[in-house]
Amino acid sequence: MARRWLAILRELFTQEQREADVARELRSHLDEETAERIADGTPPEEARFAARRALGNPTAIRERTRDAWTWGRAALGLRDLVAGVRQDVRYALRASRKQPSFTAAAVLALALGIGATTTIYSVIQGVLLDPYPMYRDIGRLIQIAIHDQASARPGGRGYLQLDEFLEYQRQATLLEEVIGGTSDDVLWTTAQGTEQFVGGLTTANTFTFLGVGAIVGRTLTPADGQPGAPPVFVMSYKLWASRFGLDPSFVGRTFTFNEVPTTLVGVMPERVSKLAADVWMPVRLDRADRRLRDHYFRFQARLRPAVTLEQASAELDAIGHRIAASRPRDYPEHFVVYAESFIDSIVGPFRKTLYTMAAAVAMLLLIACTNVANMLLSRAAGREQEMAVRAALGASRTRLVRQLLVESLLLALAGTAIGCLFSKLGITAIVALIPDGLIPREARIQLNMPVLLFSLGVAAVTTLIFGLVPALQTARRQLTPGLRDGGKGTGGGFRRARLSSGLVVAQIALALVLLSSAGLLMRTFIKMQSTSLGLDPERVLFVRVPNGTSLETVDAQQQFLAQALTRIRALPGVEAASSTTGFPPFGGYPADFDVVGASQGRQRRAIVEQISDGYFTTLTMRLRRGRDFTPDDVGGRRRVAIVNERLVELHMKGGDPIGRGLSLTLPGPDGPSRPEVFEVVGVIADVKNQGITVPIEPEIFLPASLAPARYSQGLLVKTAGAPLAMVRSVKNAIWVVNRGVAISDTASIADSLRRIQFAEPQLGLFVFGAFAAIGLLLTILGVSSLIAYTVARQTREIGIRLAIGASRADVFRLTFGLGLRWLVLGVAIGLAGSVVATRMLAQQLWEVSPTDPLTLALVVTILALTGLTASYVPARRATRVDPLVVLRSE
Amino acid sequence: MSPLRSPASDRIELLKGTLDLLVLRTLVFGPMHGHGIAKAIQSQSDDLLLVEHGSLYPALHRLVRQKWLAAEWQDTPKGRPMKFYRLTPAGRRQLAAEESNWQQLTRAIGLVLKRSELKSRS
Repeated sequence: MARRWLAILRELFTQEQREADVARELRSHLDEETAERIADGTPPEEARFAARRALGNPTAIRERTRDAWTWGRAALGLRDLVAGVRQDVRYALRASRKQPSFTAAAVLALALGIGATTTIYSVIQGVLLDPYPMYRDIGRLIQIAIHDQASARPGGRGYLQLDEFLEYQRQATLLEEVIGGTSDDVLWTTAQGTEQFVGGLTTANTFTFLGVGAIVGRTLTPADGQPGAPPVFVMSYKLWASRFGLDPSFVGRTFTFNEVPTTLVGVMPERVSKLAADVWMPVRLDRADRRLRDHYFRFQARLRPAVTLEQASAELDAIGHRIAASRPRDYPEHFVVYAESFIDSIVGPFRKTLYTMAAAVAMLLLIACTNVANMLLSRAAGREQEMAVRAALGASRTRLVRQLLVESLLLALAGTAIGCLFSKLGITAIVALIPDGLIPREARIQLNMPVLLFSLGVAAVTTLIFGLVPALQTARRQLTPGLRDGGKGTGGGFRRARLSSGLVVAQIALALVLLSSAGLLMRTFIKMQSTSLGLDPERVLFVRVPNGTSLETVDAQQQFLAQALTRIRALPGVEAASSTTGFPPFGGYPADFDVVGASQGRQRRAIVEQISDGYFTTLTMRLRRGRDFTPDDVGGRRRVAIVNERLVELHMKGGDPIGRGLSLTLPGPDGPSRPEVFEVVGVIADVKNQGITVPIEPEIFLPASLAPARYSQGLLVKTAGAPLAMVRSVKNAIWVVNRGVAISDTASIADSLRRIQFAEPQLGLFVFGAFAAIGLLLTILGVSSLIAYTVARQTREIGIRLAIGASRADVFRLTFGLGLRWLVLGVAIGLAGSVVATRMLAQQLWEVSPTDPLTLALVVTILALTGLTASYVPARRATRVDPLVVLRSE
Repeated sequence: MSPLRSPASDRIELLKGTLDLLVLRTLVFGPMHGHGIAKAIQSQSDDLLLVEHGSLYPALHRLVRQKWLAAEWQDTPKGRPMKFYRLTPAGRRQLAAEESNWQQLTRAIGLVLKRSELKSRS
C-alpha cells in the first residue's frame, strides 16, 4: 500500500520529465519517417507533411500518452493541482527574490510572531501537556490533601505519619494501588570518609507502579520490600553521571549507607527524580519500626477505573474524620480531606500564568499577521496590472487566489524556519528563568516533534489569516481598469483604504494591551523589590542541621547548638550567628495562645519560632522595647517570650506589654503538654514572616531550648563577605563540635528569597516585556510604513492638491492626520481592551490594580509618542512632493 | 475484439488489447524503436493492419508502465538518438499468456462461426 503511494508521488513529480521525453520521441519519429520518405524520392517539404499526417495529431498523442499514466479523474485533478502549485511556487520564489527587502521584512515579522508562539507552546507542551512521558498512566495519579478550613490558603497537608498512612491505605476502597515515600539523609561511609546523599525511602512498589524500569540493572520491585529481603537501592542518573562517571560496573557493589551494607541493583533513567533523591531504597511500612516514627510520608495512589476525583475525595474525607477522632492533635478543628490530581497540584498555580502568556503571545502573533497582511495589501495594489494580464490570459479567480496564497504560505514557512531559531533562544532564556518548584522537575521544555508540528500548524493558520484577505481583495478588483490606467489608478483617495487602516488600528490596540500588561507586571516587580522586609537578608548564610541520629534529646541538641554557635562566632569573617526553627522571612508554626488578664474566648493565633540569643542582631531586626534573649534565657530554658508589634497591636492594646503573660501550649515529645505562661520581655518591630506578599502575622519568639527535639534547627551566620564562601569553615566548625552531624541545605538567605519570591514575577515580566517590546516595534513600523505607502500611492493626488493651491502645511496635516486618527482610535480601543484583558493578570499582580491609572497613562504616553514620531517622518516627506514632477510623469 | 473494416481503406484497425499483443510479439527478436515497431507490424501483416502511430505511443507507454517493456534512449548509426523498447522477463511471460489466450479465443470464435455457418446453411 505504501509502495503504491510512493510510486504515485514519484510519478507525479516526474510528469514533466516524461512529457518532454514523449515530445522528443515524437520528434525523432517524425524525423525518421521524413528521412525514409525522402530516401524514397519524395521532395523534403512533402515528405515532412506526409510524415506528420501519418503520425496523426501530436497533441492528441501526447494527451493519450499522458492518460496512460493516470489513475482516473481524481488523480487527474490532483496531478493538475500539483503541477499548478509547483508553478506557483516557482513564480513566488522568483517574485520574492526581486523584492528582497519586502520579503525580508515580512519574513522577519512572521518569524518574531511564530517564534514567540512556538516558545510558549513548547512550555505548554513540556509542562502542562506531557510532563511525565516516562511514567505510566499519570493522569489517574492522585495525592491526598488535608485542608484546614480555618486557613485561607488552598491546599493542605499531603504528608502522613506512618500509622496514619497505613490506616488510609487499609480503609480506602476506591484506590487501586498506593505508594508512599519520604526523604532521608543517607550517609555513605567509606575508608576515605563520609559523603552525604539525599535518600528517597519509597514503598517497594513505587517504580513498578510508575511503570518505569532501570536503564542499567533492575529497578526496585515489591519483593525488595518483603521482611528479610536484603537491603538494596537504585541510583539516580544524575548521581551516577556526576559522582560515578556513568560506569555500569558499580551495579552489584555494596555501599555502606547509614551503617547498613546496601547493594546497588540498578540505575534509573535520567528524567526520574522522585522526591528529588539521589538514591532510592525500599521501605517497609512497619508500625513497629522506630526509625520511621518521625518521618512523614507522601501518600499517592491511583484511582480505580471509573472512579472520579469527587468519589475518592468523599471516601478519603470520611476516613480522615474517623482517624481524627482517635488522634485529634494531628488534625485541625475543622478540616476536609480531598484527593487532588497529582499533575494539578504541581502545575496548577503555574497553569494560570501560562494561559496568560499564551493569550499574550496570541496577541503578538495577531499583530505580526496584521502587519504582514498590510504589507501584502500595499504590495497587491501595485500588482493590479499583473493580475489583470493573467486574468486576460485565462487564469480563473481561483487560480489567482491560489497563487497569492502560495506566496503567503512560502512567507509563512520561511518565517517558521527562522522563528524556530528564535524560539530556541527563547526556550533557553525561559528555562533559565523558571524557578525551581514552579514546574515539575522532570519536565523538559524543548523543541521536540509535537512542538515543531504545532509551529507548522501555526504557519498554515497564519497564512490564512494574513494571506486570504489580501488574496481575495486582489482578485476582486475590477480587472479592466487596472489594465487601462497603467496600473496606478486613482486609488480611491486617502480615506478609501479602510481595510488597511482597520488593520493598523487593530495593531495599535493590541500593542497597547501588551504594553499595559507588561507595565503592570513591572510595577508589581518594582513594588516587591522595594518593599521593606524589616530585616536585612544580605550576607546571611543559612545552614540546616537536621536532627540526626546523634542529637536525639533536647539537651543534646541544645548543647550542640551552644557550642557550635560559640565556635562559629569566633571565626574570622563572621559578624554574628544564631539559630532558628524557621527560615527567614518565612517560618514558624501556627499556635493558639491567650493573653493573661485579657478577655478570654477570643481566638488568638500567632506564629511561633524558637530562636537563640543574637537572632535579631544577625538579621538586623529592630528591638522596640525591652530586651533580647540572653544566653541564660536559652540555657536555662526560661519561660520568656519576645513578640512583634503586630501581636501587641492586635492582642495587647493599652499599657506596657513588657511583663505581661502569654499562655501557650508547646508540643512535647509525645504530644502537647500543659499550657504554660511565658513572660513578655521584648517587642520587636514588624518583620515579614510569611513572605513578602502576605501580610505580617503576629509572632511569638521563644528561646531555642524550648523547641522539641524533632524540629530541625537552622543556623544563621552573618558574614562580612559573600555568605557561600564561608560554608566550608562553618561546616568544619560544626564538625569539630560533633563529627556525626550531617549538614544538608546551605543557602544564602538573600538568594533564596530572590528565588522563591522574585523569580516567578521576573519570569512573567521577561515574557510580557519581550512580547510588548516586539509588538510595539512591529506596530510602529506598521504605522510608519502604511503612511509612507499611502503617500507613495497618493503622490499624484498630492501633486494635484499642491498644484491647485493647497499649502504644504495642508498636505502635512492630511498625512499626519492619518496617523493621528489611527492612534486615537487604536488607543481608545486598546484601553477598553486592557481593562478587560488585564483582569486575567490579577493573580500575578501584587498591590497593583489591573486598571492602575498611572501605568495606563504611562503606557499610552509611550505609544502615543512613538506613534506620532512614526507618523511624522513620512508625513514630512509628503510635503516635499514636487507637483510639477508628479504631473509631468503621467 | 472483432476487427473492423475501415471504409476508407482495406486496412483493418485494431483495438487496444490486440495492439499490446502485437507489440510484445514484435519485440521478441530484439529491441526496437517506436517507428521501427510501427513499420514492422505493418510489413509483417502484409500491410493489412493499420497501426495508427497515434495509438502506438500510448500503448508503448502503457506497456512500460506495466513493466512489460523497458525503454531507453540510444544512439543510432544514423546519428539521431532514438528511444528503444525491449521486452522484460515479465513481458515475455505476459506474451506467452496472451498468445495462448488469443489462440484459444480464435479457436472458440472459429468453432462458433463454423457451427452457425452450418446452422445457417442447413
